[in-house]
Amino acid sequence: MPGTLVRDYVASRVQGIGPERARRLGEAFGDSLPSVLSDESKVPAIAAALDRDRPLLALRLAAMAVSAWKEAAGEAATISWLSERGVDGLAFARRLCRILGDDAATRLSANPYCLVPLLPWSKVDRLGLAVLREEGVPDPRRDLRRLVGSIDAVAKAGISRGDTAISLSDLPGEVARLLGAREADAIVGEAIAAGLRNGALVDADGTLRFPGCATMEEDVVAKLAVIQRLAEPLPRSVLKDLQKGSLIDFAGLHPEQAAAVFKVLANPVSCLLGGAGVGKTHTTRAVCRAWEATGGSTLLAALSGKAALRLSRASGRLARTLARLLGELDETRRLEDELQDAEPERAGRIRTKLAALASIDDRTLIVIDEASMVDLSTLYRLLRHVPDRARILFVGDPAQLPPISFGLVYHRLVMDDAIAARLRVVHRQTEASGIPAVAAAVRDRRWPPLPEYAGAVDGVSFVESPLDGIPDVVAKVAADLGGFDAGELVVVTATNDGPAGVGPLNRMFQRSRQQARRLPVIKGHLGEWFSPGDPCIHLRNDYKLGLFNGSMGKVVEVDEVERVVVAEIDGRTFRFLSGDLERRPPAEMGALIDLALAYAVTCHKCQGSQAARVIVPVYRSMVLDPSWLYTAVTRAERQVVVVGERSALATALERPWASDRRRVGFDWVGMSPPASQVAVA
Amino acid sequence: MPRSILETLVPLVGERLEALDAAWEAQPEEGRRPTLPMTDDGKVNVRAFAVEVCGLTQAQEQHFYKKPELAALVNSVAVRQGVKPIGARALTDVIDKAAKDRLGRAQSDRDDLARALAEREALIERQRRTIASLTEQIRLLGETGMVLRTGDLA
Repeated sequence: MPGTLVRDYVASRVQGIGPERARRLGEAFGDSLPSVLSDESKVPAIAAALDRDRPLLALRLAAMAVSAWKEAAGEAATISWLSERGVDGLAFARRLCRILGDDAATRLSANPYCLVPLLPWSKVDRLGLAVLREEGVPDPRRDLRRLVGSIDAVAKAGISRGDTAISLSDLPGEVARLLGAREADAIVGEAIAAGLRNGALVDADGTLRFPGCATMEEDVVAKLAVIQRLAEPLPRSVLKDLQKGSLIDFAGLHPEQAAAVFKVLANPVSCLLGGAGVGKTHTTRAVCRAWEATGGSTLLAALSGKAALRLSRASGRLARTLARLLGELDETRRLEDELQDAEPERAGRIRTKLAALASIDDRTLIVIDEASMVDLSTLYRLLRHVPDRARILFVGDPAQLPPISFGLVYHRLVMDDAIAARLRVVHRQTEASGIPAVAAAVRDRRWPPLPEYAGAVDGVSFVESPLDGIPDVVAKVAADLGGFDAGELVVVTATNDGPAGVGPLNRMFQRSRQQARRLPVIKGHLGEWFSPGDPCIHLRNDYKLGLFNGSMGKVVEVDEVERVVVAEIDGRTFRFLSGDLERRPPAEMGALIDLALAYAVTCHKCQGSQAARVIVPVYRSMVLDPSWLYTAVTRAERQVVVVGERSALATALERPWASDRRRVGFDWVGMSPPASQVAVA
Repeated sequence: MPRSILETLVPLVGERLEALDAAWEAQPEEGRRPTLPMTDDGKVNVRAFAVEVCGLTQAQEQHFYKKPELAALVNSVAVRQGVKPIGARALTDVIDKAAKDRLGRAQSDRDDLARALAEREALIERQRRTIASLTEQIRLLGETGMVLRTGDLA
């Protein structure tokens, strides 16, 4: 790299080295600057060249310059290593360097199969075999690195299905498929043995757990068990006051709901569960009132923005999205660390900031609404912020689809009768809609007779249609219901592809609206086009931005010159950068590849959201099961229009529930509360 | 018990100075020339006096700078003969040298400290990069449920 470039690079990467100090470096070392910057022992000399008058600062800057140069060198070596082996992509190489460190290229050479978490198996295996051949390995197909890599790839595939474990009987088939062998071949057994030996799977009584997930599951169980054990039980006098109604008025509660309130208060870790219309929110509000009457505080959160807003309105308390809550808790931790060394003036400003952020102490009751959708990873992150003596209540409906991402926590916790308060009596029997009644029927694997669709009328109705006719019917119904502009309509469908899949329906609605109104448009990466007003959905958990896989919103602006889409999601405005995939967006921006149209969404993606009216195409698909139908129907607040084949409904209702099909290692057995606390409840 | 250097030198130097002084006295009063060895700029040539007059080694010259008793003896004659005495500047040179030596040692200490500090800064930067890498691995765990395989295989 020419000297000027090296200087410019250092000046651009190291805060504190501007053009002037960079020039001094150039003067002092000339063409040997790159080799000087590669040598940590030259830090004093670099410091002397940078600034003789400020020796201490200069040393710091010199060390940072060497570090930046090493990072750059590591990045360059990695890009070169990947490129020579046919793997292109600057953004990918950079991410790899961030994960593996400066010596990424060395690590890749040592074991190319470490790329399994980041690339598809076919690509990793092709690359891996090539590297092993370069190395002169006599039989690369049987190399230990490839065998263990194949087990890692089995884990990856399982996690993408939502599982955190695999059965011993399913394993050989999957391994054989990846290795291009037959189940009976010796190589399959060798791979499984190597995988177990090297911790690619964790054997737990015949269930083989994926190690990363197992770590998170163990930590979540351990943390909840500690909370359950350590949190102070409510004094009997307080419980008596509550029972007498002298602390809060229980008059508006059904006996089942009042019993649930006491059970929740008696258990530091508890679950409140029930189907649509049983008054979970009403009961939650009573729990909050009762807990606050005992001197405690409450902190409410839900996965989606809409759910958080609904909870805020219903409870009269601020409810945050889980993304925002996690962001605030991270920030609180950072500021508290900073406070340790802050000057008095700065400390005052930090305390002001801290006062505005969420915090959890020993007297906080954390309420997680729609907990059935909260994935293992999100809960793992949340619990890292929860003190051992705080309390946590999970509110949800286990009949709904399991979380989009991997793991199953709520569905397992509610199996513990000691901590689960069940609500069965339907109160919100909004007869005009009848949605809770239909939902209850689906829970019982029944599909009640439904009236024919008759326009924008509250309730659940049906339009019979063969698969090919579904898009036209959906378009007509959407127009009848007032279209998508008000944000009160969504199409919930089963698949991404196929005539009634997410892709074709989104393209149909987007094109029709964009052409009718001659709106500006930007092409996304996945063949989609975005215009102002298009409903949109985020496709990935992005903790930095505070967006989840499934966060929904609306495009508010497209900048065709800057290739930027501006969207409002959960009440906040985000910018998504389009164009060159290698161009990494700045930290505060998202990537357009993570954004999709959301006229139509899969049921899995929208399970945290609700809309006034929902159109549900039904056709034969492997994903249709009772939990899918139940979740789709309960996304609507006022009206559901089911469009499609009756036979597909019948088949779906016969299938096992999605949560039963998910194989996880989360085990809460034996973690129930002490008998005394249960007895109080 | 060995005699001190002064006990050895003072009689010798005194004797030689007396001889030089006598030779100076013996000259006609007008036009007397100094009998003490002199440098070109009119100062006592300490080295010549020590080596040639007193028969000492060159290394012993230093005593005329370091021992005021010896310097005083020589200077008493030098003043009489109009020769610039073994003066402040010469003595200061010795002090300067000592100071220089000490400064040199301090500079060396400073260099050692700077090196240690530089190593510390470099270590901090290396640790920062390690922390960044581990943070990314934790992020990867959260996003994908996968642990990155970095260790050796068995």
